Amino acid sequence: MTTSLHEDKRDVVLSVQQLKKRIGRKWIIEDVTFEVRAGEIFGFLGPNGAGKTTTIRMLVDLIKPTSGKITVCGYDVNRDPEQSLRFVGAIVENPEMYSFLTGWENLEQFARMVPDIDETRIHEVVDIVGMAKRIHDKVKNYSLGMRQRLGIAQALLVRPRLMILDEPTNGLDPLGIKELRTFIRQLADEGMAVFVSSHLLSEIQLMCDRVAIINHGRVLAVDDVENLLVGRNQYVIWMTKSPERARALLEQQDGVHLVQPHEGMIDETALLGLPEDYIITEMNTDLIAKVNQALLAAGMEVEGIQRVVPTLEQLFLEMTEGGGID
Amino acid sequence: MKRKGSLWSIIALIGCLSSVLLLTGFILGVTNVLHPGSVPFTEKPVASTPEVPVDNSKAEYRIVAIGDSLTRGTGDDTGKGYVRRTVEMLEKHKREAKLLNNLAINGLRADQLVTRLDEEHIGYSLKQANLVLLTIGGNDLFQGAQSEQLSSAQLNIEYLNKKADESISSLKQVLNKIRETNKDALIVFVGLYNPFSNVKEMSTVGSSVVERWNHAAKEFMNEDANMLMIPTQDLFEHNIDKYIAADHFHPNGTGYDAIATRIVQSLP
Amino acid sequence: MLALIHNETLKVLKKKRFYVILLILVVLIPVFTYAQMKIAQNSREKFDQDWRREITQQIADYQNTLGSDRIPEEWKTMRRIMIQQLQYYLDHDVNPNEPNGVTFTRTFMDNAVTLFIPLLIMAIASDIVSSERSTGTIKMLLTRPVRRWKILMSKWIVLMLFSGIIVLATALLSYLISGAVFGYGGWSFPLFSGFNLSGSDVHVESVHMMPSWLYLLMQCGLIWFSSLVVAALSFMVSVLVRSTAASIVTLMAVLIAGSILYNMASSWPTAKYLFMINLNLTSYLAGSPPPVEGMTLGFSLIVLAVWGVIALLIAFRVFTKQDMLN
Repeated sequence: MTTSLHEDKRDVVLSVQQLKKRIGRKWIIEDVTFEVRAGEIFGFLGPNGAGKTTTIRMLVDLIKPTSGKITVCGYDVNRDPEQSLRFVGAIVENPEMYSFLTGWENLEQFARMVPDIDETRIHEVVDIVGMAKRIHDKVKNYSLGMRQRLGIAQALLVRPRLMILDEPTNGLDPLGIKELRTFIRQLADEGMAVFVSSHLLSEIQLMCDRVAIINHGRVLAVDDVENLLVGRNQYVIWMTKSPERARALLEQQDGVHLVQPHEGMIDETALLGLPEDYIITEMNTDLIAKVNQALLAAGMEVEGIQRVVPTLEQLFLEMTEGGGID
Repeated sequence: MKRKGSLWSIIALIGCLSSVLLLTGFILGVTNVLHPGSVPFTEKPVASTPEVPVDNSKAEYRIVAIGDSLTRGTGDDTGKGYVRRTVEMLEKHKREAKLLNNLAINGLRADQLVTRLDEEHIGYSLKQANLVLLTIGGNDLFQGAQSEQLSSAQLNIEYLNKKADESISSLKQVLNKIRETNKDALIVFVGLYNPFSNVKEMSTVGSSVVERWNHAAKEFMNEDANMLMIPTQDLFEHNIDKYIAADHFHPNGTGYDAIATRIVQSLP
Repeated sequence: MLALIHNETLKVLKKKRFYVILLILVVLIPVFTYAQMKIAQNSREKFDQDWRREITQQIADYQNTLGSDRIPEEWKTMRRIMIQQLQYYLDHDVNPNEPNGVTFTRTFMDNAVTLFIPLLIMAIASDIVSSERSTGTIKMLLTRPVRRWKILMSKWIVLMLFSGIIVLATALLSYLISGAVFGYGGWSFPLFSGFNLSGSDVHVESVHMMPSWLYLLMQCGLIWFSSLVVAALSFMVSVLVRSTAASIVTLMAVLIAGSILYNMASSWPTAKYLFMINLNLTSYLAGSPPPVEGMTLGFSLIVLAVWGVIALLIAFRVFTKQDMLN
């Protein structure tokens, strides 16, 4: 990400500077600063209640910041929503549409509120999200997935330079998540800046180019996603027919630590499909092949090896314990 | 799509037109109240008296009742009074009867009735009748007596006689006026009774003044063949407990029934 | 702006609330028509269609209540005024209750102004902002490149348009439905206006005669003004309260309290500054006594206007500044 100053300036689509928000006496957002550039997928990672949604609502002028500045394509969002929001397509939380209107009528509603959007553009976005068949049905008869698609369609309607998606994978099945990922990448490749919030590290890892990590209303770090876990041990799960012997052998290996899983360490869903006698180790992933050979050499049948990303909470724990990625 | 597009514009247009129309109405309405008569299409009203439709085609009693609370029916739990009872009894005897109006007012005195008869709409109603039922005088003689403690002045025979003479002249005016308004109607006047015939101090005095009044009325009415006086003093004198209502002044249902019976018997 | 009005009109129409209102009218008006027909039949039997005798009897009945000590003085004042007015109608040989569709409409509108029409207006007004918030569509609406006051203004304009339509539709439907029973004539039938009240005396110097159609037009115009004030207040509540049901209940309670207060207001003169007590503008046209002695049309108009303007100011102020937290 070493680009010249001149280029950087041109590419910044969304800029958030020293954003602060107080509600009542409580500072919900204490210090949030980051920039999103054209063509990148920017992850906004933080646990529930960290201030993600509040920040997103400030990005689209639903909430006024107490202090700080948000600009989109150089226009101040709060002072000049008429200019700045023209470049933004957003889904805040769930894509709530007028359920008593058809999908098409919903899109028409939004189209009328922005200049230069005609029926052809509506047809275009409907085709993009693949909803041509059901678009004239009432929204109340849509499934959650279809509502998501319609939400994306309305966000695309304005030909945005910045796309804001708040927890976009919520309620989607694995296939849907995969489709969405491809779709978002496609948008970024076309030069759009995509801002994605999530509380799942794994998701951000798979989807994003850069990431900002937020907790308790503060951005802890902004960096490339690859750098996020560099130099950090990861969890590897071993499955063998003879777990006791494997455990003993693993214990002797250099750079391998057996760990007792505790709550919040590993995403529970990653453990769900596993047989009972699995062994969790914390180790550098480069060592996996070597350790595997050692196990085989000792005559143990390795049934499975699985790399697991630590949860965000675990990451925070490590970041605060021994120097973060700052 | 086209159809939907036009629906909203039609509604919006209707909305705009409605608003313009209503705004006009609002401005006219406000002007009309603040500056009466300045709005076009308004004009000064002209008083006019209508033709009185008199329907003589059917042989029936067309009744207008006028007078005081007795005619109103005060004291009758059923609210019918002697007027409605009369109508009902006539109907029971297969004689057609219709009550046009009951114009009686509680507490009315004879002198008040004289002015009341000047009112246009009373005349309108009277003209249509062929039978006028009338009670008056009770309030002239005994006003206040039914509710307040009897004062010595009210027990004074001379004072009462004076009052009776005054109100008799009013009664004469009343009867004359009714006759002026309606030349042919039968006027039935229900005479007075002494409501205090069971009250020791008032029994003699009351009866005496009531007799005096009734006598004068009867004398006057004798001159007109189409006037009929229904005596009630004899009816009530010894039945006062049976016929009087809880207020010790008006008849009760039974009392009214007795009066109505007499009226029906006396009618031609 | 026109596009925004287009949007809002469509939303109101598609939500079907407006049609429900029309349906309510179509169902209820025949009920009143039937009741009125029974009354008319009754008087026809008793008075052989001789309205003069009927009025004469009415006067006599009123006069009788004047003597009673148990009747409150305010009622007696009202009765005295009515007697004098009825007398005036008799003297000028004009039947105030000429049985026809126009008379029915006039009476119906007179009775509808304080409660019925406000309720209909409320059904649309209380929903117009709060429903966007309770369904979450407000997020879609406010993240457009349009300033918030414009969005609210479009909603208010649409509400005004529908208020006008509701008032006229009520008059029109009641004419059409009752006309089927009472006949459609009576447009040019004369009516009196301009009775001046001082205490229980009626001054007739400024009384003038006008055709029924003009009277009806004035009446609807005055009702329209009351309706706009009710609309403005409902609008404000709709902005302040997130739930449509809560905002309807709030207003219903206020209106019903108002109609109860109306009859007691004479003993509490300060009540004349409440908007509910002033809604009955048509009473000034007919010359019926106001709920508090000394109230005039000018006074009521000012009180209503102040309430309405303040409600709108609050609505706009809150809506444009408010943080949309959920």
